[in-house]
Amino acid sequence: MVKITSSDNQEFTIAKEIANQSVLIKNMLEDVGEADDQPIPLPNVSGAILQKVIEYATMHKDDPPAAPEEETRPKSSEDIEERDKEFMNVDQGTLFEVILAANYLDMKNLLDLGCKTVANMIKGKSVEEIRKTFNIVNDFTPEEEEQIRKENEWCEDR
Amino acid sequence: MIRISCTEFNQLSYDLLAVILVWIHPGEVIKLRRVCKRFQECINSQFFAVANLSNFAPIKRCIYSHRPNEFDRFWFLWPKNFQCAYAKSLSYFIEIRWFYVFGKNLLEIPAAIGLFTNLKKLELGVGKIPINIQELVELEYLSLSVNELTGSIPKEIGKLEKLIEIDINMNKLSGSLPQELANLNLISLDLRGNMISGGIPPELGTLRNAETVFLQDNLLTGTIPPDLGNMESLRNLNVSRNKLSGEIPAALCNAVNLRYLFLNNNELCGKVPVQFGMLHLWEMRISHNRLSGPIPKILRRVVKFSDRTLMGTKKIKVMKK
Repeated sequence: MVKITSSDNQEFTIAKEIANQSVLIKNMLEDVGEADDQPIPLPNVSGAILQKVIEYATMHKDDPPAAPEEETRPKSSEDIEERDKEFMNVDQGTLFEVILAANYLDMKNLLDLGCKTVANMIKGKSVEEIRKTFNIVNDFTPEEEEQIRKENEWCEDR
Repeated sequence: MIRISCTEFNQLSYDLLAVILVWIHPGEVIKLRRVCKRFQECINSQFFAVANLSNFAPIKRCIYSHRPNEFDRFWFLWPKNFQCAYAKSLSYFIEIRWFYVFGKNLLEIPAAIGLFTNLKKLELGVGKIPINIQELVELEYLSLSVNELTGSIPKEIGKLEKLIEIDINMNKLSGSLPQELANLNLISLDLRGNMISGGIPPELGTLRNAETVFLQDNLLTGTIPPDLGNMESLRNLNVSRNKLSGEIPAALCNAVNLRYLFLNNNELCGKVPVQFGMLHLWEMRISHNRLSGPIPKILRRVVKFSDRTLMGTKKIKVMKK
């Protein structure tokens, strides 16, 4: 078993095959060796998010290893397992925190899942809807925006 | 669901933004440049274009592309970084024949055409000739006929050492014929039906392998250079319907393989050189000029029509078998 602690000092004890899904933790464990019983501090991840990440890792602990890159192309953000869709059915804040955590912990599958989920929220929306959905400020001057609009003419109405 | 944090989209790093946007189709993601500056910067980066295309564009394709797919069509519209990334990913193409890319829209051939470095044959249904064409060092066959090409023929075309066939007939090319064409090893030069002006460069006479030279229906002026007689492979010379003046050079008869010689509808004057009788011409057209004098006897022997004078504007054909 492996012990990890979150930024808010919550301690989790998890099985090694679950911990190893994070390349960051896996590397740390290899560095410190088996004997060390000290919990691994993860100062960039809160307890609530770590809980979520562990939930994901537990769900996927029996996954077969990923197929080699080449064979899986072209990929699509629509390729999401039903249980993962369910897992990602969270508020935006949590979703982004999970992405940040997955990036920090170096968990490629979870990062892909988070990014695909956000991409699916962007797809099919107009530029204005995207700004509104994600609270993004339009920082172009009207002239700049008009210029881009012109360059985008061929794809804006797609 | 309880809101357990307040992280916002804007807090995602530039790299994370990129790994999100790579999941959006290259036909759609371009429009997101308008969302905000961060989006724009991300989508305009070379790295992003490569990553985005590798997620969507089909990987393995034939080296001969005879019909543009969805992405090939986008190629003409995408921003530069996508055009470059795409052309690089397909630099193994040996042949591109894309007609009807977008109907007859006046799209330019992207400068990134130069990145198809293995291309031997290029036939396109759109565009304007880009200067970068010189980068297609393997090109043997260039066909851009029946388009709306404007501008002049870039002299850089003379750097395509392997080019053997240029077919840009029926376009709207203007400017003059670059003498650099003579640097090539052309077998066929077809520029008929454009608006090319200026003279015929005498240097073209060095095209020893050229069998066909079609320059008819342009606005060429000046005289027919006698040097063209040096084109020992020439079978088919057509400079009709231009504004060429001066006499027909007798030296043309040195091109002993000439079979079709069309000089009609110009402003040529003087007599038809008697030496033409030595050639094995199958068809010669010289009507609608300002030529004078009788048809040389040796040519007249094979003339099969009643009109024996070369005066005025009557149509004259010299036929032999």
